[in-house]
Amino acid sequence: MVDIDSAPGGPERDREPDIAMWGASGSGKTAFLAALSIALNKARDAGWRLIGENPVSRTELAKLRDTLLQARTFPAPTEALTHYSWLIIGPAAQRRRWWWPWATRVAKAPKFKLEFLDLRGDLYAESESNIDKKALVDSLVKSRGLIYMFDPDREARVGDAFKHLDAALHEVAGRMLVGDEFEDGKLPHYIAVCITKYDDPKVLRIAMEEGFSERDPGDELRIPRVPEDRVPDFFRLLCREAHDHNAEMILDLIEAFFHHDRIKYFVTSSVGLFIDEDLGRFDPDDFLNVIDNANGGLTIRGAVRPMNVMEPVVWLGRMIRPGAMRSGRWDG
Amino acid sequence: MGWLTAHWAILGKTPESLDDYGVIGCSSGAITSAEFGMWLKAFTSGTMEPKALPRVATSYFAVGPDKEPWLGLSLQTEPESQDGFQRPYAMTYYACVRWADIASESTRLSYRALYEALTKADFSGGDAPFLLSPSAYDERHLAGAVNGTARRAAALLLTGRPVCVVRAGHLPLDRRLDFLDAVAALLPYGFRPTLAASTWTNSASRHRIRLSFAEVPPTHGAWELPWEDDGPPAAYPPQALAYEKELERYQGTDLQELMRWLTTLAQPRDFDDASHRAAASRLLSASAQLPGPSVEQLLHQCRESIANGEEDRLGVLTTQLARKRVPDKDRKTYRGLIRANPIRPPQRLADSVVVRTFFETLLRLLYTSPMHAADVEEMLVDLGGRRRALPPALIAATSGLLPRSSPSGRLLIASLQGPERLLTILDGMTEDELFHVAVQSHNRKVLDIVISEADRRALPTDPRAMEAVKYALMRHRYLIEAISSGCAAEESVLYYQNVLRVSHRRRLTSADIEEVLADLDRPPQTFLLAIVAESAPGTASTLLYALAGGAVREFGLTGTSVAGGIKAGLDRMTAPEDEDRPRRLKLLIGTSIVIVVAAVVALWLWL
Amino acid sequence: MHHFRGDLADLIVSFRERLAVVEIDAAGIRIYEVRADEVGTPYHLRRAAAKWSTLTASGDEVFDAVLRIAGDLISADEDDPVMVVRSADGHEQEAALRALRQWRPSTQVVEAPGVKLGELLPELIAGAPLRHAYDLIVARERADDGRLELVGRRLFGPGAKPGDDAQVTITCTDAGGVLLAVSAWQGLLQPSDLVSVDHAPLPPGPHRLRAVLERPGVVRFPEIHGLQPDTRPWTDVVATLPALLPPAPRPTHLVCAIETAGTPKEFEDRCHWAGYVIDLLTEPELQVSVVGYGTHVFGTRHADRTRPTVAVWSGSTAQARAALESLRPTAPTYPKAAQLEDLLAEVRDMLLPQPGGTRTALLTIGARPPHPPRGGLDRVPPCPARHDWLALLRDLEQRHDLRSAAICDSPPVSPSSPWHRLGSAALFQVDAVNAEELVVRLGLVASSAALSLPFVSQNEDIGGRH
Repeated sequence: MVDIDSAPGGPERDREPDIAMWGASGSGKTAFLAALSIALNKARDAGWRLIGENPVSRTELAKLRDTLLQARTFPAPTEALTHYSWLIIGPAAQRRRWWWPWATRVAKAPKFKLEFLDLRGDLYAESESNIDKKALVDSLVKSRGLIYMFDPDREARVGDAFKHLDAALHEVAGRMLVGDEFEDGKLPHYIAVCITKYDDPKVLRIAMEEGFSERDPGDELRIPRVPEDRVPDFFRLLCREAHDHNAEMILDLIEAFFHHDRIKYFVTSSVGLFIDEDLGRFDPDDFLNVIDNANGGLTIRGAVRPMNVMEPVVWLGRMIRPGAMRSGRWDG
Repeated sequence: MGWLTAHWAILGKTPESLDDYGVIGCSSGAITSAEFGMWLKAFTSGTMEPKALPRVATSYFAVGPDKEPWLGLSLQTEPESQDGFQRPYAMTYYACVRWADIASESTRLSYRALYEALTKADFSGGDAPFLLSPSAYDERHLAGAVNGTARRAAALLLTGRPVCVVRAGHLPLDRRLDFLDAVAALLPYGFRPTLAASTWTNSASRHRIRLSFAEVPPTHGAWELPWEDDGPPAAYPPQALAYEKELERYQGTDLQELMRWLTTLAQPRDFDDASHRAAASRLLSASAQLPGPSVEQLLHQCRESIANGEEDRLGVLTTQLARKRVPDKDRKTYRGLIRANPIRPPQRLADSVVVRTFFETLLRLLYTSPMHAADVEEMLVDLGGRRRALPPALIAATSGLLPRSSPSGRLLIASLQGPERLLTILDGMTEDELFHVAVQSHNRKVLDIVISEADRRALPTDPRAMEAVKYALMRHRYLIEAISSGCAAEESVLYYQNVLRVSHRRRLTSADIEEVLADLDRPPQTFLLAIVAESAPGTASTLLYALAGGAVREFGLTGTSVAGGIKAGLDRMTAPEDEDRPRRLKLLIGTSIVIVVAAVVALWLWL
Repeated sequence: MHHFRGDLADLIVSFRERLAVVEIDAAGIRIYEVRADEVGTPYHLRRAAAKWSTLTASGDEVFDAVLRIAGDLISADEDDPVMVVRSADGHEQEAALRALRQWRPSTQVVEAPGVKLGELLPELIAGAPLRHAYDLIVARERADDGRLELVGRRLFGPGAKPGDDAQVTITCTDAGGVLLAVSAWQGLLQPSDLVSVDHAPLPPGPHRLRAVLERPGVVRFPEIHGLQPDTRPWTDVVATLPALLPPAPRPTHLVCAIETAGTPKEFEDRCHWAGYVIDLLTEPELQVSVVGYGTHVFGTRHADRTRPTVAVWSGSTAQARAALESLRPTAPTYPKAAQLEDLLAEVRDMLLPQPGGTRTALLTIGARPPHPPRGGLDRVPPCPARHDWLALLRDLEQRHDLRSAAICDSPPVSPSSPWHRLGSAALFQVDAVNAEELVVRLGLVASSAALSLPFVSQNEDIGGRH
């Protein structure tokens, strides 16, 4: 009964993102993007930068950075499908010519293009007839990497992650797996499953109390982290704490739809943990980095230290565009 | 304009809610909550930024199997509270109206009028649709908001690509809204059902807003239009350039006139339809050849297009005609031209707004201001032809003359438009104004109107109204000047009789006659004859005294011996005639008494 | 007739054990008896009533029948007066009178046609003056050993007439009100001696009461609203009284801690109550301290080390009022907690040199709870100085015998809210404060023992007897 005329369109409609964001409302998708450039700046291998490829993306990137670094708060809920074209530029490597090994020359800096699609979280719940929903599913179908954001806090309070993921996966699978192109019956995407808001005391306490967190002796801040190999188990544990008992099936759902070797789990925090500069290291009694402000909103209290924000993007980049990443050192 | 039914919805969150944006309240009836939610989200301008609020945006949609078009306007504000994730959020207040309700000339609506009506609406009371009372379409205000950017935006929209105004971050909401309104007013009104406009958009969002302000333009597809920057954009399409140039030719009242005409082009047009856009681009170019055709040529062409029923062509020609400035001395020539070549619109154009606009323009061209009764009569001759009957569209167009007419002209124009219209004009006039007009106009029609209005007012059942009419007539000398100047003797007597009947509502008594004649110097003889015709029995001596007294005064004979002789003569004339007259009189009186007593007894018995 | 009423009224005042009043009229004979109850309130009974025809129905003469009834019902003791009221003459009446005179020769006989004793007697009894004195029972300290004793404060002496009123000044010590017990005579206090016991909801402090004698046995306190009869056994009431009042007043120190963060209106309301409480205090050795505290600042590079503002320490009430005026509202820099724990640390440090034996009270007035010593799940960052408010409060309570009361802007959100602990002596909301009760609960008034009976101090003139 409802008809919306086609919107003013342009070539932009045809450009599909390399990487699509995926996650419920409030799960921290936009904050993750905002933290990405900060994470790259802070990476130990200095010289990594994130820039906007066009004026729109540059403006948005600046706004996102400002939100975290200057306003010290979080981006407003995303209302519309939002498209970011970003470029990651690495440090140029020094190379020696085999035929003139006495001098080095500066090689081309590695560049890697990231097309991100951010969206309002509830779009997954809407009917297929919604034009934005169509665009979203299109972009998922055409994208090659997915960042799936799982917000344990939201799951404990609302518990709709399974419902949304299930609906979206079935729609994407319906579009892609009906034909013969993917004979193994799995979606071809790489998926970085990110458990967000590690800085939330409810999440970090579980990690510490259930013995999932370890401290890297080499880390002078002594921040507890969940080791890579234990992240799936941690994910499973968090799902058990969820409001919706279906949440425990999320992991199974992901593994059923994607190739085992194309899934990677990350425990992330866009703003990281609070470190008292006078103390100079992690304090289990005082790590809250997101606190209430006098206006009823949230404020970032200390320095922004993104945790595992760059890593999923880099992993996806390496998987999707092996060539572009070859010259960079991505393990910093 | 009058009342307008608007359906409404609120999209937002409740404080502390963990839910996503949703419709948290809406009117019931034509549109469901789910539909509201879908359209409001479909026309989002992008993620909320506090500096962009409040934001006003227009949108459109179609409902039902017939795809009935609707037009909506939203106001987005930021509440004090946060959602359950302690994030700020925006509240969108939305009102929408049926296109059909705002598509006619009398109901056309500016975005600002709808916005102002929306801000006055109460979104907290029940689920009934609003009854809005938006202000009228104001070409003057809209024309005032037109600048080069607005002209260019309008021209660029006709390319089919969205237009994004940048470098306007300093503009407050009001100016932005006026800009959107002005751009829409520079395009045929019928485009509005596919025009989504917004005072702010985020270009990173994939929004569906066709005309908007933004910090930076979208990467692809949209025209980037820097605010008040005259440099033409790269790859400026020629047809857009032509439209912009055409628009530049209209300034001031011409521009208002153009906007007015554009609102008459209300049949729905689609920005996505290239043929609609092309047709719109050509609309103004009809008048692009320079130097323009002469008034005579235009008048001939108009007459031709009316005869052929070519409405669109007539619209273009009318706009050109409206721009012509005519010296007063030439008007007579054009009147002669029209008189010789009467314009008779065919039946199917009887209700055409374009034809009406043409006649309005024509009237402005042919007659100076103010129009007096005589001018109106002239107009009847010029335009009515031999039958003196004006075409309906012309009669409708004469409304435009009312403001620039003298009272007498106004009365005649109103009488052309029908008794109801005339009555509204008359109702606004006092008795004195009424009779003053009659005296001033020297016009028979006006006189007739005035006398019949006086007759209507002086109701015998309303003594106060009668008094008012009577004394006003007395003050205006029983309209003697008006009647004597325009009527032959016979007619004059009849008119005076009418006037005396209206003023007294009875045969004139001796007292009446004395009163009427007391203040009149030298009443015309026709007037005296009318008094004679209207007098009651037994007033002869009074009339005689009055006439003689008046003549004595007039010739300055008062106090002379001649005056004494006349007085004596008058007394003699009115004295009893002879001896036996009293006896006969007594007998008559006696008989009368007997008859009266008998009648009273009979009446008493009968009762 | 009038004379007879006066005689009968006099008899009602003067009889000792019993008064017999016999009514003889045309129809028959009625015998009334007037007695006084334990508290001296007269009352009347109709002992017998018979028509002449009934008396003679069994064949007896009237004389014999009346003699027999009189022997049964009328005391033979010459001290108990007998009055006969005769309103008719005749054979039966004469016989009856003879019989009565035979039984009690001192019988007084009056002729009073038309009098109905059944109506006259209650009227005369209600208007009778008191046979005993009425006292209000109050507690006071015995002069020699300071033990509490109950004494009577004279309200009405013997002979007081209905409508008389009396004034009495008492001190109410219990915020829950006081028992107004009226006893009929001096001597050992036994329940039967009480005229009435009523609970009066009076606030603590001195009160001047007006008592009105309505009629014998009924005393009203017309200016006290909400008076309720108390039905507890008197022994239970007496048992609630301590043997001794708490020791004599010690130096008193009130620390008012006021949160400055909030709107000017919120801040003003808090200061209002601090000032109000200070104004209530009249203790001779009273010190008052006023400390303002705000909210911590987070998000700065180094931890916030600001300390609460000590506006005045150990000052007079006047200095405290001035100090209150000097405080200014501050903008909240953090919404969910305030530096209340820093305040407790400050108070602890300041109290260190205070000599023992001072009664110390802390009144905290604010909106936000203290910061925890460690970050928890509730997303409230810990105190930058890591003060532990609970440990500090316990320390203060143990070291200085401190009592802690609180007035908070809005009701505590959960039962585990620190406000319950901070308001352990008394917790009020800022829009519903009972300041009189608050000072009592904080131990800031001398008669800190809450007595259920009115208290009078030793030097007050006692109108009644022990």
